Amino acid sequence: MAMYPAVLWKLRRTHLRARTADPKQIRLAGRQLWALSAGASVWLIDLGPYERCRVVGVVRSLRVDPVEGYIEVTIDDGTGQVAARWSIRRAAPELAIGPGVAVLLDGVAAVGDDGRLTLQAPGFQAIPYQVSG
Amino acid sequence: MASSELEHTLLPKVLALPVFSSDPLSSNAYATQEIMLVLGLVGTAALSNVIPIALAVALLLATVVVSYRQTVRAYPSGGGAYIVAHENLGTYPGLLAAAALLIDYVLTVSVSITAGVDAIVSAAPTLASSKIAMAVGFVLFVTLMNLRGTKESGTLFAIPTYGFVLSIYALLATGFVRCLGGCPLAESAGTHFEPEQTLTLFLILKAFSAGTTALTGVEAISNGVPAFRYPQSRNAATTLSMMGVMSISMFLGISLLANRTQVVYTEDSARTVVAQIAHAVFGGGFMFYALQTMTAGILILAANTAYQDFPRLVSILAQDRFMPRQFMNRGDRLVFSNGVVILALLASLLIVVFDANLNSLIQLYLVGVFISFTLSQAGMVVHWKRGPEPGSRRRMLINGFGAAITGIVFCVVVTTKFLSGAWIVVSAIPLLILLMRSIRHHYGDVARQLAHPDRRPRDRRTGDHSMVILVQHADAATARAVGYVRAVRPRQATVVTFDKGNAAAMRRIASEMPLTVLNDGQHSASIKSYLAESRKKMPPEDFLSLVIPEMLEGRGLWEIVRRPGIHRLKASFLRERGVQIVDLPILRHDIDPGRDETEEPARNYVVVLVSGVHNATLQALEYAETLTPTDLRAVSFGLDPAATEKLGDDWLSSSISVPLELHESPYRDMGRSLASYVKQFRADGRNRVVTIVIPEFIVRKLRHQFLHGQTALLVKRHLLFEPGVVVASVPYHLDPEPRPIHQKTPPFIFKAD
Repeated sequence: MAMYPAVLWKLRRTHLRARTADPKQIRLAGRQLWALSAGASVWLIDLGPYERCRVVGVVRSLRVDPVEGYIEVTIDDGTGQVAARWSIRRAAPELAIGPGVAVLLDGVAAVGDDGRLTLQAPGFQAIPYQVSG
Repeated sequence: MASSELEHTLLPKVLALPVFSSDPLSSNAYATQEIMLVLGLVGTAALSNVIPIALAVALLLATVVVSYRQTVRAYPSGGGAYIVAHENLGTYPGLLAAAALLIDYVLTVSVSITAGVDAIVSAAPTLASSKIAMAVGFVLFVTLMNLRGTKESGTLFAIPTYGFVLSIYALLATGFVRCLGGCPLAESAGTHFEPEQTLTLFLILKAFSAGTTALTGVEAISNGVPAFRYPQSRNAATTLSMMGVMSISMFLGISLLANRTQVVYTEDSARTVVAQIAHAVFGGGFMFYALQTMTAGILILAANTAYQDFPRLVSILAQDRFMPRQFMNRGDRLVFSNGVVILALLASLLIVVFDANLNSLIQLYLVGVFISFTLSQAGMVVHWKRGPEPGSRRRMLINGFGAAITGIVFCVVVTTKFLSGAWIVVSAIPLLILLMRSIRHHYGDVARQLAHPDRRPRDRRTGDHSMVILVQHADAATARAVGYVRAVRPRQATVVTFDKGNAAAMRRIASEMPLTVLNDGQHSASIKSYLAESRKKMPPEDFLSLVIPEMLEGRGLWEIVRRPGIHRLKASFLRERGVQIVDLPILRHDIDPGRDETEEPARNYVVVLVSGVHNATLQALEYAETLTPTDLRAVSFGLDPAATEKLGDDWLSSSISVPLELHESPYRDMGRSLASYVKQFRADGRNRVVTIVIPEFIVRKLRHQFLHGQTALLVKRHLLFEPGVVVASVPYHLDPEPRPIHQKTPPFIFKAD
């Protein structure tokens, strides 16, 4: 019988959470905290050119360009986005990346031909993505 | 809701219990009375046998709960009977379990909602004439709640579930306390009726099988492990135990109290057994009505258990190609919406066919339940045997005992209920298995044809393309189509119209394009005939496109609905072999009157929508290359990581010289994602156009159309109102016998599945 007050309290807490919190804001903040806890040295919004960095984010898009010979992914950590590019003429385990996969990239950011910050052939590691909300 | 919000929808134990256990908990509202109904055939004296039979059912329930605790721990990603049987016993036992479960879920909705309506009618007999309408209305209500989302519906469903459990415990506590000073008697106590039969072993087994309705829905938690919060297996096992303890204690308590209050229950009884006990114990006051309300509430919402598991099972079957692929994906609210809707339709149909009669429906109920229990437990025995690990021998014995017991009960259920209605389910299961097998066969056939080397397209030179502009009105849309065709620079461009009045204007704006005025009459037939003639004059490997300019008066669904003719026309051309359809829409308010719309756009960005590397994609890529693109790329949306990896690997190994982009589709809506994607090109229709090339499978038989997602149709609906977007449909005809298109060695190194 002692279970019922706890059950009612949990129901009330769930109800209050649902009413008062903005889930999107909570998840955004959660993703930023996750990025740091997963080993990022910098948030993407603070990333500058020509500095060695470790960044964490979720892959938003992937481009395979057989003509130019590269694979490019764009990752997002909730503060900003950055591209990472690998040559496909070398071994490319990076194809294990797909949209929605969380990754830790380790490399140097440079300004690409299109003016965007791009990590050239960074070290890559798929990591679990769990953000509580 | 975005896919990334999926974790937000995971259920804590406090919500998972009502979501997944409302079915087994609610069956306590009628399990005892089902036993009494059978025993009543032997006369009032036989009703005392309800206690030993209830104990046997409780023992069976405990066995099944203990067995399923092992299943949820062994299958953290969801170990429904289908998965366990499929993985450990083979495809056909898996399909047998799936068919049994699907039928069981439909019956769960029909039975529990009908029982809930019965509880309402018990309290308000004047509503008896509206039983069917009320039941179908409740099905609709539960369906709408489930379409809102799991967690949202879970919060709502928690109230009647916990309310029912509390009310029953209050009833049992009050009843047993009052029994200390002499039990109150039910209103039916002392009723005598003539025995219709003698007490035989068969009748006792029949009463036992009737009482096993208390077990329905126990497997729901094992199917729904992925819906639990982390750690999922542990939380699911704990919830299963909680459900088992609650269910057994309530069932035994109700059976004991029914015996002590001397309830007599027959088919003609106005009140249910629980209602009679409550009336005797509470004396018909507030608590009686509160209990009846909660009972009606939980019975109606018990259907929710099936709403959680039916769509999930159908989705798994769709992933394995045993069900149409439309059931595979989650809808806008992260719910498998198609499965929810189908379940609602089937359950409503059963309610109407059986006149919302609980006693008729319940006869069909238990066959599927015990088939799935037995196969699941038998599968677990093989699972433990295959992977020896500490304790696996003990676990194997537990599951083996569970399989043996549930197998015996299955035989009892079929024997005792066959003529009463179980034959319907016994006949339906093989039909469902055949259906699933034929769906799988169709998808296998499609995959073979898409990978067939004889049907692989050959590489063509740019320009091997003829275009025909279909002119309905010589307006700005037509002028823009002329500009577009000029930019593509096809080998030949011609104009066809039905209206001689368009001829003069067309000679002015497209003087270099030969004009043909077709006989007015059957538009579709005359154009088809014209295209067939044109096709004969062309080399077989060339493309022939029919360009259809469309003037849109405004945005929105109404614009699509108000012109059904043009859509029928486009759809009919898709079935014509060797013809591609280019749809060139323009919004009237986007027209600049001071501008010559026949000017060629300077840039034509061509995007090919791909889902995999196969013949249809290769054909679409070749087609795209003949459109003289400024930039050509292939794009795919919303694939899971495994499919992304496969597509990327296949793309590189196929030596396709076109870049491939893979994007998220956070709302699982490819049309919306693509409409958002094309905005980056800033197409205006004059200087910049974006051509979306969509490979489309064309199936020969109409019934096979239901097995394909109609993604192209949804995508086209979204793109219709995007400025400067041209949609080219490149049909790929699926034939029963693949026929060779060419004899040349293909340039692609194509890796088939």
